Amino acid sequence: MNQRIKLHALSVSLIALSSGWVNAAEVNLYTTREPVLIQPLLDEFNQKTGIKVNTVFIKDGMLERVKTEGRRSPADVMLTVDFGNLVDLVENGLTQRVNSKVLNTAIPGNLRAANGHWYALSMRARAVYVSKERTPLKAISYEDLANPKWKGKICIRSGSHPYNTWLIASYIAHHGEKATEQWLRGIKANLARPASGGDRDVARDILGKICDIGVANTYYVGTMRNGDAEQQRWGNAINVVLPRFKNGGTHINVSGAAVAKYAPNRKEAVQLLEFLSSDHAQAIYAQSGYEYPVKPGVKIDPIIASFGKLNIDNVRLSEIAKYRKAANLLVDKVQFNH
Amino acid sequence: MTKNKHHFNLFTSLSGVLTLLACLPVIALVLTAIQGNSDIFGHLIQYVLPPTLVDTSILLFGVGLLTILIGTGSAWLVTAYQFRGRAFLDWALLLPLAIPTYIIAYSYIDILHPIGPLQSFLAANFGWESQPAWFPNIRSVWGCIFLLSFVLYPYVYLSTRAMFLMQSASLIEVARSLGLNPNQVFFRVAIPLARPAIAVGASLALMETINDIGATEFLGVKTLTLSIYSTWTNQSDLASAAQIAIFMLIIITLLVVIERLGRRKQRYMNSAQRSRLMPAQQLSGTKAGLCLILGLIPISIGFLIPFIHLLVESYKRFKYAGFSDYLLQASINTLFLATVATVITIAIGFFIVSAARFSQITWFSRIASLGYAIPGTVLAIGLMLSLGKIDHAVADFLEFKLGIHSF
Repeated sequence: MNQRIKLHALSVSLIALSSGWVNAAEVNLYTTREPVLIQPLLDEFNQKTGIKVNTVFIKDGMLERVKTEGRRSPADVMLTVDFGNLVDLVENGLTQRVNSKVLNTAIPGNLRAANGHWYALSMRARAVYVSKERTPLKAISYEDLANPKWKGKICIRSGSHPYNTWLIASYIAHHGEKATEQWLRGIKANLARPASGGDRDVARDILGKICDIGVANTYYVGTMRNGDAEQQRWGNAINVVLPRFKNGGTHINVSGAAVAKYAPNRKEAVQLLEFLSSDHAQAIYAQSGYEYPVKPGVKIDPIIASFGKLNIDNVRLSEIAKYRKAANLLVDKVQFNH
Repeated sequence: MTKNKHHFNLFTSLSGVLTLLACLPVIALVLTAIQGNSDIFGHLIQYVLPPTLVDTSILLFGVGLLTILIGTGSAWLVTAYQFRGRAFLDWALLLPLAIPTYIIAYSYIDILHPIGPLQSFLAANFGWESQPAWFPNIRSVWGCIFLLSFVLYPYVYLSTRAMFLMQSASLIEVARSLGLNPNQVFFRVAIPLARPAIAVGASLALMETINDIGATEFLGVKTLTLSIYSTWTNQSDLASAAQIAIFMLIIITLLVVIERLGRRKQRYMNSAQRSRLMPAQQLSGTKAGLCLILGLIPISIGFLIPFIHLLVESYKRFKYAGFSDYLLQASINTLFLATVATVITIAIGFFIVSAARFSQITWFSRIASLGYAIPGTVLAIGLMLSLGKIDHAVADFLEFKLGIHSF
């Protein structure tokens, strides 16, 4: 009996603790982004507004977590990489509509949900790294990656990785499933090694002469060229070409945010989003993360700017989202990773 | 008698509850799997399961074989022979267990890369041509078998070494006096007697292998576990992931059952009460040196080389960026998590094993240990789903019955 009382006391005090978490002038952030990148932004926000940001860094399973927490979820803002994660949050009914003039002015229409359920905050392009030493290539189309002339010369990470899934989904949006299947088989036949590792490994393997070209994201070039001596070697071994679809532009993916459906601190949540879309925060995204800012007119990092002008593909993200599942199934079907 | 009965009830019911708790995530996974889309399952059966099953089988078979080879070999080496350095090998052979599987994968990809230390050194000093065709590709299922085996063999070493030590000296002596040479003693007496220990060690190594995500993903090996993980994280399809997880769990259950049936009728327990230790054969000279070198091989591959590589890389990182603020916090978190998890694991394990002892109900422990084979991340999801439900029930109760509002 005595023990039972103790147990009750314990659970009551635990509850008291947890509800103390959501006092005034706070905002609770769930994010899958790297602390190194996001912390300076949050510190700045705190200095500017006095609002304290409680951050939960999550690697996988943010959606399941918020979903399980349901209407008791302390999450106010959910900040993720990869457009797919944003779409999933919206489709599972975990977000709410935000109608902010500040956000709608700062962020172009194709980079936010028409109904205000998500906002992109930064962009990255799916680029092609080419060997400075061996491959004098100034332009390439995504379609061309399947050209047999690249046989045994291409490096790429797993086809199931979201960065590739979105590129493939985008290809389907342009050319349909059948042509995409052919294209994937073509790339697979061109691979210099199994589709594995990360995007940086593409640069390293080009330096190591395992492959001549490879598919990887733009911002890694910034981190490599400004990294330690080893990474600088990798980053300096490559040139970056921004590929284009034959009938379109360069494929981009985004990082972005949404306000949680049951956000206890809704006002502060919107404030945080507005801050992240400000000139200042957007410049930090560009400088410390080497991403493309979503807000027009914000300066891009010189390394990223050296790749040339980014001509964003004309197919909207929300259109590409429709083909994500098909893209995943195709990767399995052509045994891209085997 | 009554006291015994009381024990029986306490342990049985407590361990029953604990087993149920251990099963909760699995139950949650089953429920999630059922909600899944059946047309995806057709796709999984046609395109995903066959190749991943092949890769997984090759990997398990290879790791099983190699860990048994290295584990029993090294255990026999330090038990049957006495030579200079044996005492050091005795504990140092356990060191590779300290290297996580993904760390050894990352390390060797670095070390063996065309621009890595090995090939760079060869190129600078011996005119080595970068990455010749015959050079082993570590990014393959074979590379994966090799690397995983050299960090997982200590499971087999540990259990087998204990078994060798427990074996009655008289049995070995009888075998020797009957004219068996050391090889024959090893293969015809020691190994058959140690079989259960080898099986236990190997099955732990295999569970660890099937649970692995980091090393296999990085090495480009497509295992069942990896497809569970990527189906969930990349395709946002938890239901399909749960379906593959259940499929995998069935395979593991079958393996465990087969293994149990295989040695159901055998009794290996040493009948002699605390017999003398097995006499070690004294070696000297070349033979002793050879034994030492042999014992150093697994330690070098599984621990020393990756450890030195990590030290060098950490030093470079430190010189470049200094100590990360997150390092201290991460270390504290790791220590805290490890301590709490260990205490809970020991407590639960104690109850369940005790229940098995008092009440002869052994299937609790078997069911409870099945979860070991599910990847940690997937298990966490199952746990979150089930505990979330309990959490809500408690919160609802507090809110509606007692008027306490909680988040």
